[in-house]
Amino acid sequence: MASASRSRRVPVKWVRGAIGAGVLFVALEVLTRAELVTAEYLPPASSILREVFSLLTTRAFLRDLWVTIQACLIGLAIATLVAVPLGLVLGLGRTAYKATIVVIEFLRPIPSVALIPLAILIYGRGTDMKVALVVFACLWPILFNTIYGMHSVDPVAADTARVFGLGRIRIGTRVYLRSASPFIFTGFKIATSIAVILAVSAELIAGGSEGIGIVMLEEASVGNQKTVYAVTIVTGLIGLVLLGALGAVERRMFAWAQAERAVA
Amino acid sequence: MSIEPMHEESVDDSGAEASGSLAATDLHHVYGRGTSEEHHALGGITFSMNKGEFVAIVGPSGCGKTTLLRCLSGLMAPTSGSVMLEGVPVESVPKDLTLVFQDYRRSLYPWLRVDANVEFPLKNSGIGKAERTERVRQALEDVGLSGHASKYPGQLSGGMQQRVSIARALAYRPHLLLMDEPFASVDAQTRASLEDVLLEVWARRRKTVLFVTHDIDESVYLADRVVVLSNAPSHVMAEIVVDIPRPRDQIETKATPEFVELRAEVARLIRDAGTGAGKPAGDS
Repeated sequence: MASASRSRRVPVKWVRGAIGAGVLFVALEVLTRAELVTAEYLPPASSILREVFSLLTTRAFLRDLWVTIQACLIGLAIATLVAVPLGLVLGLGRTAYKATIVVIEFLRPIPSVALIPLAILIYGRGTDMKVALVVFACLWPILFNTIYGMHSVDPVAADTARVFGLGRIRIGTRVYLRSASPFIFTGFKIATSIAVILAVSAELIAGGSEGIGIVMLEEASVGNQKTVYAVTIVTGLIGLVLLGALGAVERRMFAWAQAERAVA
Repeated sequence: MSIEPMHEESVDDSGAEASGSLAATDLHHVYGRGTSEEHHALGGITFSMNKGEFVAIVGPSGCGKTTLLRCLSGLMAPTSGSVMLEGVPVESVPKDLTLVFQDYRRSLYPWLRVDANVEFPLKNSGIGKAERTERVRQALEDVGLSGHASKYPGQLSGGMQQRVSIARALAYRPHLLLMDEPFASVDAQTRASLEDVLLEVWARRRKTVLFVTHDIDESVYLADRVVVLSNAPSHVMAEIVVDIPRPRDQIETKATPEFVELRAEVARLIRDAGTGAGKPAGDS
């Protein structure tokens, strides 16, 4: 019953979204076709959209796209592998938490883009540099969500494991980590958006030879607005696709957490 | 639900042979010692229970029942005094004991299906898959939840959730089952049916059960013996033997003069505890 009503709800959401996008598209199209806005500033929406499709079918562009996405994915993976175990330890141990929180609170407010010059200095202008920046930026949301998740684990859940004779490590992984997993996943989702921002920013600022940021710079330098608009839309699409996929994973894996929230 | 005369237990319960005896001696517990918030919860509790016995602990609210259970289960060390399970001092949580919490919603794991929740503690104890599956099946059958094995706790009513946590404790097969006001947060109807489920399972599996409650009727209805605690710092004010024949019935038993008399006696003791009349002169 629940799944039936859910599957009915999703299309409604999609229909509404499509209507919103459609209205925007038509508005932009009318605006430019009626020459209320000069085509120099804003090419017609239909021509931008056509350009998006043509880019997405061009092998060279897809390679650039992949370079950027790859940096995001590698960076996210490394950030997760570091932040989750660290968050587990910091979330469980009061002493470890107090000892490190000062350092963490100092590092965290550093805007990741401010590290670009340093990253260029250390890693050059290639993928390594982008990955390093993505890792730095993505570490925080995952780390803090993991710690927050650990702190929100119900003591009764942990006591229950204790009265059934589970040891510390098993309680850590089977109760704490599991119970905190929806929080960790939320952190991962936030990190995913940040990863795209950082990878593209790094390309725009550092330059280099590959990546969609580079494509954007090159097209801008020859005054090709239509393509710059189209690439900008593609950067948005990366985030949309990645978050959409993560949302689907979340609905499958963490349905129990949604139900909990509904109960509480 | 009629109770069949005990069917063969040979396959079942390895714990049936061992004893689940428990002895608490002069348990004291003080929270926040030396601070302004100092609270003397347990003031020298001594009692014991034998194998297979169903003992209920009642007392006025805030008398330290939960503190007592935490000490008995080894979740917490008492400030002083000793707890012996089957003659062995309890220092951490012993293998042969488990505790059913009042708050089933927080005690069940929402990410596991009902059967996986019941199986959860077994995965830790080196029991083979086939044996685990069988225990889970039997425990769920015992509490009447056979058809709900693949649901998530969040999909069940409160009463059913508490039955899952009882099934989980049963599948673990402890010698001693501690229960901390397990039926306090379900409605009256559900409560009565859970009490009967528990009695039926107890009759069949012969666990030693220590049942903490603040409900006087419940204590007399369920137990062989009712231990009455005083206000904090609590001590045992009285132990009342309930020799009402079993199987008991929610309506018939509660209408018998013995039941009415016993519940009045316990109620009087608890009321006196509230006014301090039950306190012995030399209480530490």
